[in-house]
Amino acid sequence: MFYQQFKKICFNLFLTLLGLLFVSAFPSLFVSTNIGFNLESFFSSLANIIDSLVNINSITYTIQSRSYPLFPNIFEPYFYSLKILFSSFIFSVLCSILLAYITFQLPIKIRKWITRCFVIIQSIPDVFFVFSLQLTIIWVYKKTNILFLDPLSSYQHSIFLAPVLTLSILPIIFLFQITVISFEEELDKPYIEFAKGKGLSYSRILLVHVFKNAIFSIANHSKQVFWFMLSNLLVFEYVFNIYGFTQFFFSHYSPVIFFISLAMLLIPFFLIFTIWGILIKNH
Amino acid sequence: MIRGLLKNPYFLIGFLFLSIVFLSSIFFSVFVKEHLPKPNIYLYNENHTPVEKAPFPPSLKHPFGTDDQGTDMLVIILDGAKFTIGCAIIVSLLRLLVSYLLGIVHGLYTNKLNKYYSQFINAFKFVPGTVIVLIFISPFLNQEGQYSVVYLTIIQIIILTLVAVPTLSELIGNEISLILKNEFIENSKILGGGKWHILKKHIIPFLKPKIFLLFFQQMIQTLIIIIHLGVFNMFIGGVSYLQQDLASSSQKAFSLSNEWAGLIGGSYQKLMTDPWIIYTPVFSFFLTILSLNFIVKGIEKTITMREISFKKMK
Repeated sequence: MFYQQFKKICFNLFLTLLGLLFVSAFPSLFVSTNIGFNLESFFSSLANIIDSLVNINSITYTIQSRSYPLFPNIFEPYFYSLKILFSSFIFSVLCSILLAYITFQLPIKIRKWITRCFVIIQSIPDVFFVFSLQLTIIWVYKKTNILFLDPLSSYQHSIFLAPVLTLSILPIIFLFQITVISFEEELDKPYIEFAKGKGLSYSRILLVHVFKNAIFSIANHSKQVFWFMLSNLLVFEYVFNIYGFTQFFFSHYSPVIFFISLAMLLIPFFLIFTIWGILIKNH
Repeated sequence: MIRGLLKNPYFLIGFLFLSIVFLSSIFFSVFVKEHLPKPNIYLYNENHTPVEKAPFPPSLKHPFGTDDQGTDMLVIILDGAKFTIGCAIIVSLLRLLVSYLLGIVHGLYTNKLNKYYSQFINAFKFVPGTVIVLIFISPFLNQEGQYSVVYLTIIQIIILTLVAVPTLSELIGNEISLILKNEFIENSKILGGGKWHILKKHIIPFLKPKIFLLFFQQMIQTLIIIIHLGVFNMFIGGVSYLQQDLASSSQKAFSLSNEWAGLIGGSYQKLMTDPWIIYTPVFSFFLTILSLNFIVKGIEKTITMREISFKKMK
């Protein structure tokens, strides 16, 4: 049975990568002198990508007419971006749970107001937070000569805190709402009333019982959160001048590099979410 | 459902705001724009000597400041609103139209192939839309002057549509499959209803509210992608570069329409000195997305109210 599942995962992975291959070759459909799809160039692009994949160590990218080998050089920006993504995710989860816990200690009216405010903040475009953070850092620096965060990355110095913070803001709001909804659902259940009747304190109920379901809800929505963070990562890397993964494959574009970069992004998330799906089913 | 919607405050506020902005933008460009006074780049004092140069910060005369040429920011925003909102409307309509047709195929006909299709389009589910759109659009925008504005806009709209079609069609297809699981569908088949009949009489009434909801959600997604594209100077309708002034050789990108994302990307360097040039379009996007969120919330509430009243009737 385990073997069956393993075969299924491999087959799905193969199909996924096949789809990615077609997407990578897709731009060459439009290389044409006349209007219409250029099927010939599409298939030759497909063939090129597969060909390059076979000789994977010899793929190069060029900066200002000097070529560099793709393979060890791609790992540095890759792990840098992954570091930012994962730190941001963990930070968002921790912050949203903490915020939800604090909110539930407050009276209900204030809780409703906070939820409403957060719904409005969710409509703010993410770029606003980047711009504002950079402006704030520089304003504080002008007044007090303290640079409390680095607003931009440079060749010698890669920043970490500023992008992690800004990347987390909207996910925190989203996860906070998910947590609040899950807390409210749990608190309605009969076993909570029983626990209260037994005399357990409100805090303890929150922490021990309701918490478990909140984590479960968060894990179910984490796919959306990651998707959202990835799409913002592209813009944030550009604005913060970070030499990260999305900047890397965007500035050194070629169909093969596009395929490899997206595969490197896709495969770990695909595996994580598939395995998580299997664990849930068996639970 | 429409009556329920019209009673819902969220929907009303959002929808009214959006329509007012969009319609006034069109009205403005057609009737008012030519009659506006020419903007002043310099502000003169009593002795007719220039005291200040544009861009001017927010003040009583210009509540959101002005841009480089002295044009009031509100005027620019109003001018560009129809492009931004119009583009989002067109893209969402196209997305839903194509995904609706494909979704019918997905839900009614190709049942066995669906799980393979689902894996095949994983690329669109795990890779963010902005990334795919950027990669597809950049070859077109990097060759300046080769394509006409109309051609570029059409290509951009097509790409923005196609990016969402795989996942959206699967969503609609799954909804249709869910509807088909109801008992009354079985009854209809026994009584002799063919696929078209089931589609028209049973499936479409269920789908209509969901598609209505999806339309506005897609508008929000499209607007977010347009903002991201704007940061990268990939404007709808193409980019044009202007030399900043004769002294410097730096080039400033600007969009040929006053489309909002173009205002953001083109003026990024101004962030430190004249932040209102960037914050005004960002604020406009915020208000638009907020009103769309209100509309979505209104529709969701109306749909659940309807379901509750159906249950009461039983």
